[in-house]
Amino acid sequence: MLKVEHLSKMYGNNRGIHDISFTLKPGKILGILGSNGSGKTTTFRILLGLLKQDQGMIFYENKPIDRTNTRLFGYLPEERSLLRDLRVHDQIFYLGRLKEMSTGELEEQIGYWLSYLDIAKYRNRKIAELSKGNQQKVQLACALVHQPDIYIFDEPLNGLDIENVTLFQQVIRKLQKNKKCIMISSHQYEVIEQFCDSVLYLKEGELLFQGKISSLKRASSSTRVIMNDTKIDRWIDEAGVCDYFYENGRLILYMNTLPAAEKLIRRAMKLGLDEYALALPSLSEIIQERIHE
Amino acid sequence: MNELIHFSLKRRFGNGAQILLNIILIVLIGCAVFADRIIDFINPDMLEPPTVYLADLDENVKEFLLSQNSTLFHFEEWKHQKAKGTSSYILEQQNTYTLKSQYKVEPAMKEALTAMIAQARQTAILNETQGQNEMLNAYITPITMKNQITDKQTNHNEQQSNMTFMVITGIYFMMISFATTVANEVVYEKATKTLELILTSVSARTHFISKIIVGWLVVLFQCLSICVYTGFWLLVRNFYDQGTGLLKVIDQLHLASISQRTFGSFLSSLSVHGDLLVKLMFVFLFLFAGILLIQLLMVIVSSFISNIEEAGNIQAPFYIIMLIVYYLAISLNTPYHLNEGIGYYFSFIPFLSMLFMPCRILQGSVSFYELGLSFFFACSAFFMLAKSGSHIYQKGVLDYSSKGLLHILRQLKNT
Repeated sequence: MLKVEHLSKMYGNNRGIHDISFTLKPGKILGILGSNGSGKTTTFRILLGLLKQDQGMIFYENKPIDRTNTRLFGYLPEERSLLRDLRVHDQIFYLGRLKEMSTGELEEQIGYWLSYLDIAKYRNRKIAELSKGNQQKVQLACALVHQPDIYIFDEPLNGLDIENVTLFQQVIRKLQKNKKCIMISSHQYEVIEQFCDSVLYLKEGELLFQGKISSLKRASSSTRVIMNDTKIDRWIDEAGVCDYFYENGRLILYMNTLPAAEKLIRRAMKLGLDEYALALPSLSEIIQERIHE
Repeated sequence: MNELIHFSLKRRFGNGAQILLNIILIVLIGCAVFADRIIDFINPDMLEPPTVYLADLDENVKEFLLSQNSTLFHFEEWKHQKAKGTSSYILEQQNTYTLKSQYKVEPAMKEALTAMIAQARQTAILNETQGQNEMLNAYITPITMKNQITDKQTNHNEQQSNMTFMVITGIYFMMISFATTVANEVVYEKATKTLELILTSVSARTHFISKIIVGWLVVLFQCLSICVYTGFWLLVRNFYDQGTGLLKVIDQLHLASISQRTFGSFLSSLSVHGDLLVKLMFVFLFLFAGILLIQLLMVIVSSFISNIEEAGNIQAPFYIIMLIVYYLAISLNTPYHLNEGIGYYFSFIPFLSMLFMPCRILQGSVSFYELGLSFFFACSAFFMLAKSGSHIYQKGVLDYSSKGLLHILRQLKNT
């Protein structure tokens, strides 16, 4: 389990991050969200040991993190970090050797991941010759080859087509099944919603909110009930109704909690309405709601 | 760290361009060692002194010039034969001396010829007035001046001076060649963002030290390879003709004043002994220490650079500084300056000592105590810079914001 407590970092007089705390259990996937300059990269750099925090502690398995263990973290950076004149095999080999892997083990893992990611045929090609998507897969292989316990994926779907997004999903599920701790950062909220169990949102270096996605949805006031009953008078005084509007002949009611919405659905059933539905808010809507609160 | 060093060296030496470069180097060194054979093949007359045909001259002057065994000119009587080559001249006398040539004669050549004619006339007058007038004889006798050196330690001769000049120039070019070798590697890793990934596996301090070691090994390997190639070709030349042709052509081209005609006799004339070998070893030690110091400085500065364009901008001032130091070393390359003047003090200052101390060593005017002291200063400067540089490097290496030289200097000062 990875535990981060009260992490803070200042850049001179500018605040990088302030009082960030979270926990990540094995087999769970945490989404790290935030606008540009919110402190995501700073958080990652501190976790990876690239920066030293001003305050706070990082624990892994209830012990302070051991920086001599080079194989603890696997990192997929947002920007391509490959030596373009190297061959695919040589690039992964080099980074694997830096992780103190033996040659035999490394060759085995390189062969495995190149096949898994469907880039084995590019093994002896130079990285510069590959497409953006395949370069991203090479970058991913570099993060996977040393079998770390904690993964940090920063914008992992950059340049990947729909097939490769599915492949990446398979990788994530595989890692999850192997009880690895996974952190994903992305501006594509649908990706986060698809992969992550929980999220934390940073704004200007501060932790705005965090929690399980399901819990956040339940507590959101953007839950909607959609029905084909146009008689608003029947519903407007119901507990939990914040707002309403009509669209294409349907009544859309905004509810302040999920239980209130569920109660409304049950009433709609009793009234014999033939069309009614519960629409949970998307992650994007939850974030917008939280930012404006 | 081993992996970092191994990877760097493999990329540097194990690529096609480097192999091709080594082949070209071997060929070029071979051509240089057999330069006389190549010149003979292309243009046999190139190294011969120009022929001066003597026409309508005073008999005494003509006789004198024909009797001269000059290395500058070859004198022949003009019998209206066809002039040999485009560099030959015809010298005739009507009211004044006229030198006819196809192209403009170099002023130095003209002055040398004028001096020879003047000497011929003086000799003729001397012969005419021999014993008749002592004062006249004394005034027209050609003047020769000898330099008697009172300081026995400074056994300064022209050969040593030339060698010192060649060594200084060699050191200077090595400095500018190797100065940014490793620094550019850091800039490249930063520009491609691979440095961040590398630093998740090794500490910035380890990365920094590995770059210094790589820099040193690169200098060592490249110097050794040049020594091996040169040694090989010199061995071949020695088997060929004991180096006679090569030494002759060096003398003819005025690259160095070498009167010996075989490698064996040349080496004997250098008076190689234990002392000299130790001093030569110190010359190389100072050279390496100086190059390492510059490389270290460049790596530290380069840690703040984010792209190749900035690198050129910021590294350029260092080249100018090294050029200034080089010209200082050339201009202060005299026994006085090196033993008592400002060159003496410069030979103890780290960075400057890599040029000035080898000068002093080659001039033969430095004690082992002074050598040791200067080397101690150079090493101390290196280690202190390495220690403080490690902290600066760690701060700068993950900073991708663009900045100019002034900003970097401010950062260095604040750190």
